[in-house]
Amino acid sequence: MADMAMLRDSIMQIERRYQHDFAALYLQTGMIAVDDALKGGLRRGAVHEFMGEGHDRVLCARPTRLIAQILARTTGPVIWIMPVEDKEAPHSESIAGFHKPAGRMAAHENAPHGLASVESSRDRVGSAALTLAGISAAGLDPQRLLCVEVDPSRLVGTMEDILRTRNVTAVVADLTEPLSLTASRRLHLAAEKTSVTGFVVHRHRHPLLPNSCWTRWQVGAACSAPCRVGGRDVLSFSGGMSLSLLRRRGGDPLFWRVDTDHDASTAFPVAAALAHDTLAQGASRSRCGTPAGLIWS
Amino acid sequence: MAVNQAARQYGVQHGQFLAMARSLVPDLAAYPVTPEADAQALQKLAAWCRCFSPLVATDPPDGLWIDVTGCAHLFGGESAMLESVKTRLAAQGHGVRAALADTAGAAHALARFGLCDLTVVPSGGTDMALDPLPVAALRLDEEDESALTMLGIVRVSELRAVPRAGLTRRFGRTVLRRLDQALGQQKEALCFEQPETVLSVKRHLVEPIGTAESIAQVISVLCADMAALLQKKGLGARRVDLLCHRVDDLIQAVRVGTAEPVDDAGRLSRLLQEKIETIDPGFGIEAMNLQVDHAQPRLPATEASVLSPVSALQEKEALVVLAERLRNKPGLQAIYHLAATDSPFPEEAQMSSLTPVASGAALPRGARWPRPTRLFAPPRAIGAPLLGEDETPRGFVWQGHMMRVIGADGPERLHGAWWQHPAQAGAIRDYWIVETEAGDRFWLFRRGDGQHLWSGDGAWFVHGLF
Repeated sequence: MADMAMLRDSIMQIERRYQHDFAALYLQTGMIAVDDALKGGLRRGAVHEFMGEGHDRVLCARPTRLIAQILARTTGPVIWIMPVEDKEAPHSESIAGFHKPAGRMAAHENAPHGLASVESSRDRVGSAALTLAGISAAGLDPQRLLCVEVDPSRLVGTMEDILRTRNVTAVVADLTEPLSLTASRRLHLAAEKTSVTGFVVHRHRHPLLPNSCWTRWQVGAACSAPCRVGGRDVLSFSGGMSLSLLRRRGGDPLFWRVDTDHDASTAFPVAAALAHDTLAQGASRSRCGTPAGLIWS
Repeated sequence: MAVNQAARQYGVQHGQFLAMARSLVPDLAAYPVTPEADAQALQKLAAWCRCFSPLVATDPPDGLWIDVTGCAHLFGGESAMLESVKTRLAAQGHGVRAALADTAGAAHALARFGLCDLTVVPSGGTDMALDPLPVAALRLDEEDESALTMLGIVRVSELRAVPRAGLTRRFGRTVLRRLDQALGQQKEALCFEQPETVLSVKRHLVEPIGTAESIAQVISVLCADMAALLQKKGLGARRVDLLCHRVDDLIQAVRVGTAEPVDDAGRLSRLLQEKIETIDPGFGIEAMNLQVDHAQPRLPATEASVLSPVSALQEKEALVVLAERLRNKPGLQAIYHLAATDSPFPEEAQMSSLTPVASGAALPRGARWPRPTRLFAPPRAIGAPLLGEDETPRGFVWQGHMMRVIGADGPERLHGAWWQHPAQAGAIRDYWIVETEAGDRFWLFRRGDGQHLWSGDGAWFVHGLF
């Protein structure tokens, strides 16, 4: 059984070289112009860097949404690695569960395995600041998502470890410091071997170091078209964004401005609220049709 | 004759003849001595005492040794631990005297001859604590004890003062060995009770091993043996202990837990191999023992075809296996899935759960409303924004910059979960999505409805960015 699995893996690795199926080689972003420019999308089995811009530089809400939208088009497990905010980590005992310091046979009658006590870690979900509602609104199924909290110093090591695991679709890591060249090479080697895609979100203000990530993206804000209803300025759709491909291997930097189409899952149901008005349906449709850049397909 | 507390109140004493005791208390309840039953009861008590430490040894006829190295902090310190030992055993009807010392011999002596019921000897203070005790405390034969008494050596301090050569000549080695064991100058091997495990496999090694590769090799052999045993019984391991017996008589233990009953040798050995870095081989490991501490019947898995490609089910299983591996890995703080709660406020709208939670049916109420992917925790306070005539924010100050709002959506009014938190009764938040000139979208909220003080104090916050 194990031999067969190994054989199957090696055959898949050989086949990958002659693969013409884009879905197996690239992660589609869903934006046609971007996919075309990248010849199919974000390369699988590589590490891609993302950073925010302006007020979003540290929070990285927009890059997070973009990554969730890209991963929503795939299947398979997604691991999100986050640094632990509080240093003391008072619950580490109960969560690490089975880790005993060497040389001591310790401890209490354990509750069933790794009961990462829901109560105790609940307050720390806030500090990790990844929201379930936002992620699932972007289309990523939370059932596929496994969150891992780890000490910032061990973050990259953990990412490499998970990148070496087969049957994982993608690993996303929130970094609190720039990625060094050595670390990025290690990550790249690990990703290449298993064809797991790595995403690195830079949640800090330090300048980025040169590294061997496949692409580097900056996701910024873009003004949406003004929309006046009555005497009041309202927001038309969920916001657009400016997407800069700052660096990529074997290519020039590129820039896009992305408007978001009216999407039932993310926008206010304005039309429903105005349903008594005969103009409602038409108005909603006409407002959809004002993209300045390109449209989410 | 041994007596209990009630009998002692009537004047019956330890070692009295039964006839004398009967004359004091005519309706005395007397039971014949049953050493086997006593030994069995002691064994049972030892098994029960494993709640304090995994290493428990019996000290017949009436004692127990508990090796609490590294366990005391779980009970809030050494004296707190002794208190807890006493109260828990008292709840079972046992009157105990306990002592905690550096060596088993000293603990034995102080528990029996110490001044108080509970004695904690600080590390390194064994000599001082033992000095005033009678020599009988040292687990000596009656012969040696009486001979020492005849020589005028009554206390341990006096025994320590006597030249060792003479003592050995006269009494043989036993006396000095007991003294050295109590003082920690000579090691004493205790025979710890093995917990009743479901399954256990053991390999003795010809040569002591110390490298990670050789340990991994032995682990895989042990796991293969264990998996064969488990499969034969139709069980799956939930908790596995690996005990490495070192040449210097110490035991290095590794414990892993599994997410579901596992009988796969590869999976077990992967879990254990992750832990190799926590094993300190010292001068070498001479035997390794793999025990399944907790096992459950395993559902027969439908065997997938060997040639079939990786299916969706296997992918889900891969996530479970990965989560299990990460949970056993030292150094990771938390591994969880996100699950929705029915709390209306966004920072409480999710919790971490052990298993993936199906969304869809339990879609949160506000799911149709836009939510940012990241929230500030805690929300960042801002000054009150400029409001338009319809209460729409027109501008606010964020990190020292004036933000002019060119479009706003809201308010989305959220009511506090008074059924969960009494403090949130009547609490109201009004959320606005505002877009600034640069195109940044902020998620603002006001605590309160702006009119009634009971709904909140009207302070403004930025909760996230879109």
